[in-house]
Amino acid sequence: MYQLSKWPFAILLTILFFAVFGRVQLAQARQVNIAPELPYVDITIAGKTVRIERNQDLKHRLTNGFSKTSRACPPFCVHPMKAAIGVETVAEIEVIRFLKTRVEDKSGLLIDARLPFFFKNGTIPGSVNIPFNLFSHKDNPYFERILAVLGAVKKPSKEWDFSKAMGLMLFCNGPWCDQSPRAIKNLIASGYPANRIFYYRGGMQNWQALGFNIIKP
Amino acid sequence: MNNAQISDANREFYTRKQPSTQSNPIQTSGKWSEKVFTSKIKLALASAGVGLVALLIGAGAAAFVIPPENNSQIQAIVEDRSVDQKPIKIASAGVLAVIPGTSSNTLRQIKTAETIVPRQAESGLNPYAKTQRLPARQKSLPAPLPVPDFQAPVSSQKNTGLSKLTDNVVSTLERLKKQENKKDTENLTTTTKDLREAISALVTQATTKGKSGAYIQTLINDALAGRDAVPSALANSDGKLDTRLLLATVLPTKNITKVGKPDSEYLSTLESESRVLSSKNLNDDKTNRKTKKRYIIVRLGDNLSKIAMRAYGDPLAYPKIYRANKKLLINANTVDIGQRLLIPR
Repeated sequence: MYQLSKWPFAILLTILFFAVFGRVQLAQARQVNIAPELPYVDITIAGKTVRIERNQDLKHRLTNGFSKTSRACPPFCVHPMKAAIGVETVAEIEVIRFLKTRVEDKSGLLIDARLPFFFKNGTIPGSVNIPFNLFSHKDNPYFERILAVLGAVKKPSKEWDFSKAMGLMLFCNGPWCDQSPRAIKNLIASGYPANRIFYYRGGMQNWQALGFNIIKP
Repeated sequence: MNNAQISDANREFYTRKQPSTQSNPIQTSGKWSEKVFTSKIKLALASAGVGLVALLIGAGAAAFVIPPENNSQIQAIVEDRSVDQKPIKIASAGVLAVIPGTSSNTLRQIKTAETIVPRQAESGLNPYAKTQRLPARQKSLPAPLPVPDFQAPVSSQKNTGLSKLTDNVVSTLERLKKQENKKDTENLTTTTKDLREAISALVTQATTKGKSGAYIQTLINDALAGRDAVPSALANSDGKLDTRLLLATVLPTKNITKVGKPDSEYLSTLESESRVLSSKNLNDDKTNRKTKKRYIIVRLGDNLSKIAMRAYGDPLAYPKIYRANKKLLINANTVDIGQRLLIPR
């Protein structure tokens, strides 16, 4: 009788052990959160769900080209905080919030303003590629159609009405990258309202330095 | 409760005398398990009890340790409007046009009704609908920003040119869908080109007529309504075309870097920088500053086509590297670890 009574206890103790410590371990597996109690954010764009999270390897370091510190200036010069007057500069949390609140319901676009050969090597999940040179309004047959897709309306007087235009958030390779500031300046020169443009200065450099995941389109 | 009160309460809690356990028969003397579990029924009851306690402890611990995912923090972060300047006016059809399961008829109804509802709480569109924002944040809310809007296509508006072009888009889509079903991969590429041209023509025409992208979207989606013509590869989750596809059709496919005539010197530096950024290990790929010759160092697991991929983004470009390094390489199949291969431009 006594011998028999040992087994249920053993099993129950095992269950208890896993119930307590197993769950604790699971919880500890995600140590690198985005913000306190914000482990990741799932974003659904065009029916596909992408998860934005950070690298959980506490020993991970960047070994790719973004670990490079020195590039010739010009053209790779350090950019000031503001890309243009009226354009708000944002950081990673705002990028994620923009994706969640405005890109998800299609009232905004996260634009990777780099040339396609940068874009194809990896970008922020949820972004679209419109290279900076496509925003120049000189010698560019595509510019008007891009503006139309972004929600601008060409009036009969050939002026553009931006009252219903989308919110745009632009980024490129990082604080040393000239591509998104160029795009922003061109957009503003065309009349796009500055308060609807956001500049993620950190770009791919800071995005990856913080261990955020990137996707290859 | 202020700090002093908390510490008082804590002191009381920790100094309070624990209730006496003398009355408990289990802990009186000897091996308690032998004394208590004399019958099978008692054993079963006790096991069940311990099991229940185990579950409760487990659940409690889990609730305490595991961070809940969609909690207030996410809501607070996602809801903060310092960046998000979405309007509160839900009646704007531009938003609804792209919300799954909202047909354009309902849009028009809502638009005419001009209902203004708090976006998050009542529309049920936002997963974090029940959020309560902090008053401080509410104060700093920026003025609402209008979202892409459009004039709903009404039959009285005669845009014959546009409707023809829309029909063209729809028929191309249907053709694409048929080919996709037949797995006719050869014709798929030409048809996607046709589709690109068809949508592009529509966008150009609409732009000159003073219409925006949102208008074109509704025009196409209205024409597609009830037809199931959108190929699955292109369809959104709601079976409709979206801004991204529209955008893809208006962007150039070839010579994208030459549009707008950017500075050619700047372009070439960008291109070489992109190669640096794409290299997995920075030290593998070096350009001599004086001679401006580029070298790649062979690593474990490399072969010539992998190096060609790293150098040019094209695995089939390996003969170029082989030719330039003929003296170093015995044949194109063997490379040695640590070899420094010249990469011709």
